[in-house]
Amino acid sequence: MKRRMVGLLVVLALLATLFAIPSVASAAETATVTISATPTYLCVSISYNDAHDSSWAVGTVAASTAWYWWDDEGGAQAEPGWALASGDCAASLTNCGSIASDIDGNITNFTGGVGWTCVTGAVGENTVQVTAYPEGAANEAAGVELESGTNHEVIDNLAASASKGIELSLETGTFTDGDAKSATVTFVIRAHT
Amino acid sequence: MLGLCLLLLSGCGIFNSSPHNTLLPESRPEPDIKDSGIYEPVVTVTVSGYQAGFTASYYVEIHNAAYSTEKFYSQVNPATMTDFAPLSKKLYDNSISSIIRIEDEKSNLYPISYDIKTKYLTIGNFTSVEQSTFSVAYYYENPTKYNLSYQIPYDLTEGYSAPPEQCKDWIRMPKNITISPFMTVAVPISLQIPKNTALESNKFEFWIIIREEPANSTSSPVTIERQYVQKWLIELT
Repeated sequence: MKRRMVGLLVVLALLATLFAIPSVASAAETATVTISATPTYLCVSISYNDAHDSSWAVGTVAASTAWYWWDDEGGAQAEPGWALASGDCAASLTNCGSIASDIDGNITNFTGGVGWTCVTGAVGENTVQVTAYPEGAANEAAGVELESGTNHEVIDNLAASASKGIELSLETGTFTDGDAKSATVTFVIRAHT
Repeated sequence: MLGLCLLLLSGCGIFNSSPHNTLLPESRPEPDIKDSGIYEPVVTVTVSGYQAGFTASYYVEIHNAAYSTEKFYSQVNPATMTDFAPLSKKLYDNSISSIIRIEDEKSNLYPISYDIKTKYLTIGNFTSVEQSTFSVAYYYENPTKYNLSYQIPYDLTEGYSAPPEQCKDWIRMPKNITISPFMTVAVPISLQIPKNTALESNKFEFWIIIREEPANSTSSPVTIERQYVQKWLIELT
């Protein structure tokens, strides 16, 4: 009988230990992870006006010249009227997603021979300025100067299904070679913050 | 007895070998077929007991619409008043029904035929032999490559801080994925925070950038690309 009592006490002690361990271990040894995401769609469609496409053949450019315009590609490079009308934009950005979104822009530096650095201030030797203008921009100063490695917001809070024209311009600095150059403009879409 | 012990232990969470769960959306809107994009651009991760270390696994779901617009300079055949456009990618289904539109400033152009071998699209209804430009928008056959990368946000969601410096080392995801036309693919992404990690802020945000490689392999001075952002909002307690 005494042995049975001892055995029962041992079992109860073991059970008590088992109960005691989790209350300590659950805090130190486990984590509970919950992941949620709203079923929305993020999408930007780029449509091109007047036979433009996803490239801008700027052509031969002169030093220290403002401006070359994407919409006037191959033309007289006349500055558009302000405020910027959709008809003076080479392309349109459409929020083809289901939520309001922000669209940012950036550009790589131009490569080819001695490269050109894209600057957000005054141009100089082997530097250029590429500016993005959303439709409705009040004047040239309302454009967003693009640079490499840093995104700048071009369109804020574009509603789902809404569109806005987009135009680009190039201002040249001085050059130290005559090699052809190329760069890439990227439009980045994200859920509106 | 052993069974009782296991029951007690599992009930208290000790055997919780997979300390995460995934809440999948019940429904999602269908995108317009011609527009690429990503689903669920904002992912919220809430973790209690994070100092034990954890893995939060989710994904970014990418839809490839395989849609392109290309520009051409016309060289019209005066006998037929037609021209051809050497498309850079294969037309989807090798069919001119995959042409979305042909646009120029003067004519009402339309596709006539497509040569599978040369990828030349013959276009009719030019009204002048003078050189002009026109663009062709079409669905293409080729798969599209998407590159994934980590980014520190430059526009934080209210209430969230910038991620800790080591955050980029906690992310596991493929560097890129190639997706066939009109397919949607879920690309796995996981956040692995080691045990006893010290954090300055328990609420932080990081971004996953999905860069779509352009459809046109052009050497033009300025080319246009698209990127998408999936925001990860992390709250640890």
